[in-house]
Amino acid sequence: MGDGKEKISDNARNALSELGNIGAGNAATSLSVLLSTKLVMSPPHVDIYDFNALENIVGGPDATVVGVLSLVSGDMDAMLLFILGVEDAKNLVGQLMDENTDWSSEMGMSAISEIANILIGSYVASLETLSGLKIRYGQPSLCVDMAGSILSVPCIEFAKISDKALLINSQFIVGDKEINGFIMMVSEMHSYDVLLNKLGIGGING
Amino acid sequence: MAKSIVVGIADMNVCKAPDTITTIGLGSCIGIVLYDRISKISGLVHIMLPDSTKIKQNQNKLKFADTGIEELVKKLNSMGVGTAFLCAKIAGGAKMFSFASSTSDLGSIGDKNIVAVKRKLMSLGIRIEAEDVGLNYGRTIVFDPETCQLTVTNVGRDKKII
Repeated sequence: MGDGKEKISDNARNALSELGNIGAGNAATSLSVLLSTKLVMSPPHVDIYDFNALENIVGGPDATVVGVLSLVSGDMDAMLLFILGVEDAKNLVGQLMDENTDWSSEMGMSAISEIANILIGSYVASLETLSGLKIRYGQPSLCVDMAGSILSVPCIEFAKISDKALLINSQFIVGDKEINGFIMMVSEMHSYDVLLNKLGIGGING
Repeated sequence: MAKSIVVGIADMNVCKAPDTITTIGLGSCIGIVLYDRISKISGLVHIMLPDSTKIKQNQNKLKFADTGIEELVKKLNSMGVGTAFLCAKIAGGAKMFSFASSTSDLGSIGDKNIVAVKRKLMSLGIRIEAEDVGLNYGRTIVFDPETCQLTVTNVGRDKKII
């Protein structure tokens, strides 16, 4: 432990980037099939963030967002968090149901949960295939609140081992509606090492 | 011109009237405001975890309820505010996501934080004058040392002054 944990080697960064790319890519394909629209993915960012900088990625600590969290367990422990802005949630529900469906109704929430479930499921499946690790994921839980409050959940898990959080962040744009979503995988450092070892890279620093 | 001093996660700061002090987006974390009505000096610490002794990586004292509160009291003492003059108002400790069955302590970290904060304040003899803790939503808090009022705002709820 110590300062070395805050560094990430180029090898590790590339490998995690690629994992994020494939994971989110598969997730996005599932979503595009479900919505029968085109879907554009941006290349994922892999970086180590200060707790206070993490919130700015999704629009600042007091931005209202929809967060869906699923716990990943098995050979590695991680959290997969799917985050959507309020406008994006509205558009997504509009595309999936019809434009009159209120995104914040029970039906709208259930639709968002289901989309998150599909995204998270395909993300995990591709991680499993790539790494050969056995990974399970739990029933996702949804929450609409301030970005800061939602991100504090993975941050607290990180706080137990470090002062920073490693984040694989993927963003996608759906159809002509420009729905920006984030899939974040946050894991404890040890689990990243397990994952990288499986891929033949020494670990987060090597 | 009065300033609004923003305190980040695992961070603390102090403030004197007419300035106000704030922290944004408390989830399971807790914001602890300590203040002295007479000198109108106050401080805020934003903690994440209950107990520094249970964690190896505990260099950042402001991350934990026990050491974070100690640091804030020390800071206020150094500004000439005696511990006996301090009162507290606390907010946060929510359970943001609920899971039916969970092996981790994810769901209960908010509750653990609340218990740890109260225990620490009691051991220092600091009285809690008001609290808005628990439940399942995030909070943004602003404290005004002039009036000693803590304003709590949430998404989709009326703001509360405690």
